[in-house]
Amino acid sequence: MPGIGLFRLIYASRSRIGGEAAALASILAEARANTAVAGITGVLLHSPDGFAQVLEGSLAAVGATFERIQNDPRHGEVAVLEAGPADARLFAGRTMAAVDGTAASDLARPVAADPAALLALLHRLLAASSPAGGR
Amino acid sequence: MGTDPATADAMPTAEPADEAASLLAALEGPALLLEADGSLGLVTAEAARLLALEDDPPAGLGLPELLDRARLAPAARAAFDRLATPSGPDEARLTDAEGAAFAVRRVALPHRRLALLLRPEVEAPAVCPLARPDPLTGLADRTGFRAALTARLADSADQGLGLLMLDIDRFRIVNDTLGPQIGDRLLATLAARLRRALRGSDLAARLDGDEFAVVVADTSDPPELEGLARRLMDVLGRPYLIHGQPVTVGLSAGIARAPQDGRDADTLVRRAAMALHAAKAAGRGRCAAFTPEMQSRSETRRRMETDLRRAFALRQFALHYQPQVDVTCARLLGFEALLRWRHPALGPVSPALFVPLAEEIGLIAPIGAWVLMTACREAMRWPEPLFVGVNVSALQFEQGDLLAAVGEALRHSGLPAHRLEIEVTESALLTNPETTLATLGRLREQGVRIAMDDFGTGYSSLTRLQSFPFDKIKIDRSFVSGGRGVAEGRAIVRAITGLGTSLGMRTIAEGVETLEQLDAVRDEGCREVQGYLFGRPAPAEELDAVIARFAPSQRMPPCPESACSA
Repeated sequence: MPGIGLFRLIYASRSRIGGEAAALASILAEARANTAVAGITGVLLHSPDGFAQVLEGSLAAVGATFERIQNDPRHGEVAVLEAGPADARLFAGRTMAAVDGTAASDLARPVAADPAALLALLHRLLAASSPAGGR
Repeated sequence: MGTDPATADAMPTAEPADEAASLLAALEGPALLLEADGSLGLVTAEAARLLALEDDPPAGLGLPELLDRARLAPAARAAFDRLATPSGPDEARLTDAEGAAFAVRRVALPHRRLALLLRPEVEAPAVCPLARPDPLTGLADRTGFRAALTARLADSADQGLGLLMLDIDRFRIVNDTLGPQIGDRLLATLAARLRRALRGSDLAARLDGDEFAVVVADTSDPPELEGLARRLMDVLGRPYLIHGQPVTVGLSAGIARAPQDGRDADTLVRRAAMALHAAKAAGRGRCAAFTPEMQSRSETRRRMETDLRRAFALRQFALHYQPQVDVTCARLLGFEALLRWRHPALGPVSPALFVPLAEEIGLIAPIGAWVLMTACREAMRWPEPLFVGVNVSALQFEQGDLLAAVGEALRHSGLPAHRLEIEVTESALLTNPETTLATLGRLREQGVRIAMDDFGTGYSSLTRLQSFPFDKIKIDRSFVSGGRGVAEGRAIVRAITGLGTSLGMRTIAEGVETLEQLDAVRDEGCREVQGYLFGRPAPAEELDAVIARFAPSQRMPPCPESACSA
């Protein structure tokens, strides 16, 4: 649905929790709860090295969510890869989906990531993580 | 996680953007989110801390189980349970096991979810005097900060405390390029991050512009303070999204400790500022703790500052003059005036030391005006058509009225404008190109000649030469001395000379000290030189001898008019 005032932001960051499962689980749960409340769709890619996330929603919601994320000590070296108005949601119908990119991606140097390549990777991983398109 | 059914939730019904944002704002800080079935959807890290939970509670836990894990007074526990019931009261004031008070407020969310917002009770103003918070950031202002720091120093005799001072590197550029509205928004958001990153017992303040301070309670342990400073520099230095635009800034930090570095607020603030200054001088993006050497360096500087002011008042400066020569016919063209300061106790002080200091303390414009006046008056004693070259600092374009100073010097001395040459460096052109070029243009209209000084160093750009019709390019001495490699140096001299010729600008090689260097620059097409080979900078009273030495002699070939006319 072409959203009026739809805004998309993509960032990558380095993890400060290593591969710690419990810490990761709570990050994912918080991400889902926070973005659902704010009407934000997107995807969160994680690996022991880092995170990459697509946030899409109203500018106010994306801005507030991003600012909350920036305050989080569990990651650092945040790089904004893309920020701007968007025509349509790329991840419409999905609340913040989490994708384990440990095997597939190199998030060791997230700052160097290329937004287009990252987006393609996110889509590929998202498709692979939903077997037979099943939810 | 991707296959978790929860990720495939349908989109929540569209909420107005503002409502979503306010919900998020509501969930800032300590908060619990309860799903429609009563299970916990979210426990923020701040809430976990406030409830003294040992570790992060697993998602999906029920509220009663969560409260079992929390350290709460029994009465508080019951009140909590009532709050979770939609029909019950929507606000309660509770105490935790330690007796600290906090308020809990229930907010209904769409989809029958509930948020419980936990807010620690604000300390009484007497403990934390924030009489006049800074309106932009809500932090304490300088006055409130000083009062609070003084009060805390009185209370914290045993454990000591730390003082961090932070400022944004090159904040002015943000303001200048993105506008003050974005700048203000950035300051406010940065301040909110600062507040969130601190413990309740720490105190943050905005001292001035982009300068912030933090009183760190109960510790003067250097590694701990440095760790905190680095953490703050990290979080505050992460990108901001301001009006949809990503903005990133760097920060520098200075640390002072009580009682080690000072026992009163003013001393401590001064020393933290000194450390901050040192961090910035070391290259920004750094953190430095105060050391006694900083104190002595700063005292030396302050003394030097006083001495410099006195030197100017008493005109303890002198100008020395170095000849510039046309080497095709060994003809003297003029002199560059060079500022000298002989300190009564320290002897000669390098301009590289005192000129930046003069710039910093706002003394460069008056000194520059004195230099212009003195140089023009001196040049009037020289035979026609010898000229005098005068260096001007970038700041003279900003702080002083250079046009007026030049006009005054010419009028008072009677020196024709074409015998004055103003030397500007490339960095002066970089600081404020429009104003600088406009001023230079006005000077040139009056007949004053303009030379580009130290060309080839710094941010050299050939396009800069096209931005203004310079009369002369001065090739930096480093290309002549071979300091950058003899072959490379020669190639650059050749390139600049060629460029000068095609742009109709004369070129002069600086720092020519030996015959080999003279031959080299001459071979590369450079006709004018300046350097020890033709004369060191000398005081005015010795110039008659220099001028006589260059007087036309029978031994030299006649100088072709076209080659030497400027």
